Amino acid sequence: MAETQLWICELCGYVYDPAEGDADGGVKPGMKFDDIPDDWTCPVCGASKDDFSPQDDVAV
Amino acid sequence: MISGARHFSALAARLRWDPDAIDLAADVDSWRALEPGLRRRLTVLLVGFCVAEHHVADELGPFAAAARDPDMAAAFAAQRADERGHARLFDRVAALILGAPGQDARSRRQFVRALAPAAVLDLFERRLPQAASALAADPSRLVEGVSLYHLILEGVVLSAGQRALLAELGDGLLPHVRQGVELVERDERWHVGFGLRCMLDLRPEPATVESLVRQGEHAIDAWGAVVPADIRSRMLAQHRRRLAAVGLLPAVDDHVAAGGAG
Repeated sequence: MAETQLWICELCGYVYDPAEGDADGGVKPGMKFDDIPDDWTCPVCGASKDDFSPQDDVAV
Repeated sequence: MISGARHFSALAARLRWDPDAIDLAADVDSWRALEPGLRRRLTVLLVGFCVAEHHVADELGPFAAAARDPDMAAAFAAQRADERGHARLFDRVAALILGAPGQDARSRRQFVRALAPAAVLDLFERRLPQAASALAADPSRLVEGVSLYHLILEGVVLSAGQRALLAELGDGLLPHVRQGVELVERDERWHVGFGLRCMLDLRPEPATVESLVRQGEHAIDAWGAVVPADIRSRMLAQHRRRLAAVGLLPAVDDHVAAGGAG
């Protein structure tokens, strides 16, 4: 089953959607957040992967 | 994808901090002991922020008035509270660290602005008030205002200045000034995210978004040599990447495949 969990940057509000990936960050559509390389950064604010949380856990 | 406007008001409430609680006076002796070249570079950046943060706080009113819905208006109001705090912090820096004379923020600002880069003054004292006035007269011009305010001034110019300040203060110099700059920089991240949310809601013309790339390339030079080339390059790349990440611009790979570059 395809990964659908969204992850949100707690600093800028960007939401990583595995269905979209992050083309300019080298992340292809379909990649689970856990599988993104640790040196990947938020495409909006440059925060680290550690600054993201599952979207269910933060107010949107 | 970017969060809805309501998210940003809640985020601002969680992140709120007190600019008067930072013990800047504890950094005064360290400031005086700095190597003169470093002190000159820091002075240019700090006076630039004194001017810039005053104007971003002062010119945000028409944005809330032009908001398309109550959630967007509330996020602009939350942002304005942040910007007032930032202006207060940098006024305290002017008074306590830079030794700007004057009994109030206005007179101190008049003193420090003489030391600020001309291009920074032009962006924040001329172009931003001009855009805010145009928006006050015609609320349908919100996309132009957000383009300049959130994506160019905050997303490129101020972000680059903050990175340069934090790099200069990276060796434990002026720890309390650094603490304040870190908090300002943290707030600016959601301001830029909120700006992108506004742009998505306002549906700008493709030409408007494409012009943001060129505007960023021009504005990044506002600080002059006090922002090193590597920081300018990184901030411009981040500027383009964020526009693509939320779908306002095609990703670089898509752009190349379509014959747009290469």
